[in-house]
Order: sequence, then C-alpha cells, then structure tokens
Amino acid sequence: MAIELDTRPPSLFSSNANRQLPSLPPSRVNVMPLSGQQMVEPLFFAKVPNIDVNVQAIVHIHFHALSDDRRVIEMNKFLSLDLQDVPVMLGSATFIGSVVGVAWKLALSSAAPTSVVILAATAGLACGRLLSLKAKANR
Amino acid sequence: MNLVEGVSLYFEYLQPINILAGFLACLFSFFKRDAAEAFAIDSIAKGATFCAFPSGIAFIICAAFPSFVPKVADATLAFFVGGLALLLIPFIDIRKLFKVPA
Repeated sequence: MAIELDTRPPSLFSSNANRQLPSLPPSRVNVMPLSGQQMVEPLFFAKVPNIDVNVQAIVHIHFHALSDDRRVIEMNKFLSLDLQDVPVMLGSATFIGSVVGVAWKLALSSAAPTSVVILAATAGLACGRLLSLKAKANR
Repeated sequence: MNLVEGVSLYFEYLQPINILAGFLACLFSFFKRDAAEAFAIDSIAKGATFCAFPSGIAFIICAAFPSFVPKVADATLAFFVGGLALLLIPFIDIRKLFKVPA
C-alpha cells in the first residue's frame, strides 16, 4: 500500500477538481511477489478542495488472490447463508418441484417418482440462492 | 359440496395452486411498484417465496385433520421443503451467536 499526499496550495483561477495529481509509477510501488493474480486499484478516498491545503490521498490496494481460480472466491459467497435467503430458497424449491410434478402428470399421467421430485427441489434450492443473490445485488 | 370435498379438491390440486400463487404474487409485486425495471428480479424472488404459501396452508390443515396427510398431492415435495425449513431456520438463528459484532 502506498499513500501519496499532495500538499501544494490550490491555484487561484483553475479548477482544482480536474487537476491531475502526480502519482508514483507502478514500478516504484512495492509489490510482494505472490502467486496468483495481482490487481492494482487506485482509490480516492479524501479530497478537500478550496482550502489552503489540498489533500488527496491515493491508496493503491493490491489484491493478492490466494488461488488462481476465481471460481473459488465466487463460491465463498454462496456459503454465507442469510436468514432472508431461506424463504426464497424454500419457495423456489416448492415452485420447481411443483412444476416438475405437474409436467410429469401431464406428460405421463402418473405421479412423479420420489427421486425426481427431490432432485428437482434440490435444484430449486440452488436456483433460489442464485435468485436471492441477484435480487440483493440489484437492490 | 361440503367442507371435506372442498379440502380434498384443494389437496388434489395443490401443485397447480402453488404455481398459480407464485405467478400471481410475482405479477402483483411487480405492478404494485409501477413495473419498475429495478424491481423485476426482486419481484421474481417474492413470487418464489409466495410459492410455499399454499403448502403452508396444507400443512396447517394436516395439523388439525391428520387424515388428510396421505391426500397431499405429492407429499414428498411438501415434507422435503417443510423439513428443510424446520432444519435451516433454527440453525441459522443459533449461528448468529457465533458472529463477531462489527
């Protein structure tokens, strides 16, 4: 992490908002050689214009992923189950199980076997989790 | 048609009633909020939640009249989902004890 501070006074007749502050070239920033992908994100978290000192701190955050596989990180999201996801998951399991049951009855005019219904309901649980994540991201 | 026949019909058509309830709840939740695009996925999630409502009514009826239990249309699904609910909700509730407050 490298923090740069610009302590020059703001000039009178130029807009300070669009002024580009000098930043360190990436070669001067210490990056620990770790395995996995590395990502550098400049993050502007403080900017105070129109006072005698203009402070702008640029923080370079290096994300060192522990694994090369991004799917491992994505899957960690699915493991954190929230109480508000449970109704959506259960309802989705009911919905998909009902759809499979009705479709089976219409197609073969007999009740669906137990294993098919349980498989469909389990798929419905996963679909409900995805749906809940999507709804949370949209909100 | 007396009460027993009506309840029997309800149990016979439980699965289409489930689907219909979810469909109507999804549409209601979507158009209640002026059909805004941002609420579309949320409305689908709410419809999915409401799918379990008729099954819940069937379970309550079964609690009072156990003779209807074999008549639940595909009792596998109802008991699978009901058992999961009974299993997951206390587990998640107790798990909050182990969370470190932020």
